[in-house]
Amino acid sequence: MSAARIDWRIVAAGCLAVLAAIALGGRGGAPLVTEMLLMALFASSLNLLMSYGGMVSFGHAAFFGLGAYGLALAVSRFGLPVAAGLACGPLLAGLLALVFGTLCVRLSHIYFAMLTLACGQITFTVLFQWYDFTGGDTGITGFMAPAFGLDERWFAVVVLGVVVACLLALWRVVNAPLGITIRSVGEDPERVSASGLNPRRVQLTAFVIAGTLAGVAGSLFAALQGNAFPDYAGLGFTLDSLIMVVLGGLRSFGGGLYGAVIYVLLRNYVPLLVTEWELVIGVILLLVVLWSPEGFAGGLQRIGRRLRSEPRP
Amino acid sequence: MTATAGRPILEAEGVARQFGRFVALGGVDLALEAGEKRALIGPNGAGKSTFINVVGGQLAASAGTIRLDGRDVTGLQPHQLARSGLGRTFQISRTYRQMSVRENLVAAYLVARGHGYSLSRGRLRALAAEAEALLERVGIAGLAERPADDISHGDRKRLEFAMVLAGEPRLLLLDEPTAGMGLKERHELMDLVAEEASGRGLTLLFVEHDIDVVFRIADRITVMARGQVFAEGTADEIAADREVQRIYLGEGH
Ligand SMILES: Nc1ncnc2c1ncn2[C@@H]1O[C@H](COP(=O)(O)OP(=O)(O)OP(=O)(O)O)[C@@H](O)[C@H]1O
Ligand SMILES: [Mg+2]
Repeated sequence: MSAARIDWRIVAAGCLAVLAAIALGGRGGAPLVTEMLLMALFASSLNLLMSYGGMVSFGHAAFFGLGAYGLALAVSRFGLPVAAGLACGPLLAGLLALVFGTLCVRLSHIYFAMLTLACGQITFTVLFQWYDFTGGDTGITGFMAPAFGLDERWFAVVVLGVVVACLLALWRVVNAPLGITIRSVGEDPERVSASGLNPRRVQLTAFVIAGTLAGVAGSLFAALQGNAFPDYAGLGFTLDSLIMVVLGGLRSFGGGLYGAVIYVLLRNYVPLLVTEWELVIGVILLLVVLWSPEGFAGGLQRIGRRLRSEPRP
Repeated sequence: MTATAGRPILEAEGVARQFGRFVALGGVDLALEAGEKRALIGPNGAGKSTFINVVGGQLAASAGTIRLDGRDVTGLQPHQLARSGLGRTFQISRTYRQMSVRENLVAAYLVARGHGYSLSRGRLRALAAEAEALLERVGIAGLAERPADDISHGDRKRLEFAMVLAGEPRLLLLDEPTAGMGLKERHELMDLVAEEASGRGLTLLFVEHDIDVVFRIADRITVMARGQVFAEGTADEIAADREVQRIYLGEGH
């Protein structure tokens, strides 16, 4: 978790692989890649809290949903152009992350998690019930052409650009002084406060960054679908993000990314083979937590070490 | 060595702390002159750590007043106290276990210099050099790359001491800085602590069970027992105090 330099070769190779998948993936390829990219950003934003800040949120989808609704409401209720709406989504998510975060960081551990759960459920319920404004359970549809009316492949390329930019910004944050501070609060908030910094403010900062990035993912997800539904802020998406982080790997920057790729692939292809998708993901989760608690990234590191035959740390 | 006369840097007046109905501190008065080295001794459970935790802001006082440089700081949060010049270590050392020794110290420097929220990586490089020198000073430069989880108990104590020094405190509270160390290492570390305190003009309050170390380092000694200050004086005065010998020194410490 310490190498601070960006390896541009890896970034370039990753982008090329994604572009190849978009170009060669046939009809279903581009939407699948887009979903993967957006889930990667969503999961990576949660990963900032979990792997670096030592915070487990059970309400992270609230900010994904708020990102979606920020766009949908701005366009459908306030008549803003879609481009402006795309800025409103993350803004709304970040703003409410500030409000909810201020409440949640007052407590820690399981109490923090319960507060985030409560905030997530409140958000979901408001979106679900406030028919006049949010459209309630029927959501908001028809406010824009799905994917801006772009060819799905071009939309995937746009999403790739945005997601890569966001992940680079996140990389920048975790490797800057702020990242060290967030990690130290994750490890021992009492030591941080005894050193002279209010750990709650650091946690709040991480929470707002994570919420805003989840909002970016949510906005683009709404743009992809051309709709916004309360489910985007619901427990289902929250669980998805938690599972992706754990599958991909706690304590690793790439955790959210790997997790999203694995999870979206599984979710798309496993149901074609067996009907019990939940059972399969449950068993996989069990195996990962038991045998490679640091997920796919941890497994990769272990294999790498073995290849270089270094002793275990 | 007697400190320059003037206002004490730390004044605790009638500081009390209860846990439920149990009185861990029953009204402690203690004043530290700027620049003095004070040992806080007493049998297990005397309330030494509780007192340090109350002064450091980790625990709220049930009653009493604490003044730092004459300013009432009772009830302030630990980070506010740290910014007022108070640095402390914990009886069970607190470090960032999954981070490397160097990162631990860099993290302390970032906070101390007010760059905790900075996004500039240039700052990290600049501080890494400073951290190297301080690690050298406390004798763990060779461990810079190791996770703090991975080093010995004693080395972690040194690391935590370095982290506190990085904060450039004026008042240093060390709760058993040598707990779990061997005799030689213990004397070495406390010599280093004394040197740093004198060199930087710090005021030092330290809890220590090794009475030889106490007599060698401390200008004055405060003896606590059952939540009270039992005796206070110079090393000679304390050594000569029959009551202190009976309740503390005689008990095999
Ligand atoms: N959080 C707490 N809850 C309840 N009782 C506590 C708590 N912290 C300390 N105590 C009690 O207060 C008394 C004083 O504890 P303290 O840790 O201050 O002693 P000490 O002088 O530091 O002892 P030692 O030399 O063993 O470190 C002890 O009897 C301890 O059991
Ligand atoms: Mg103690």
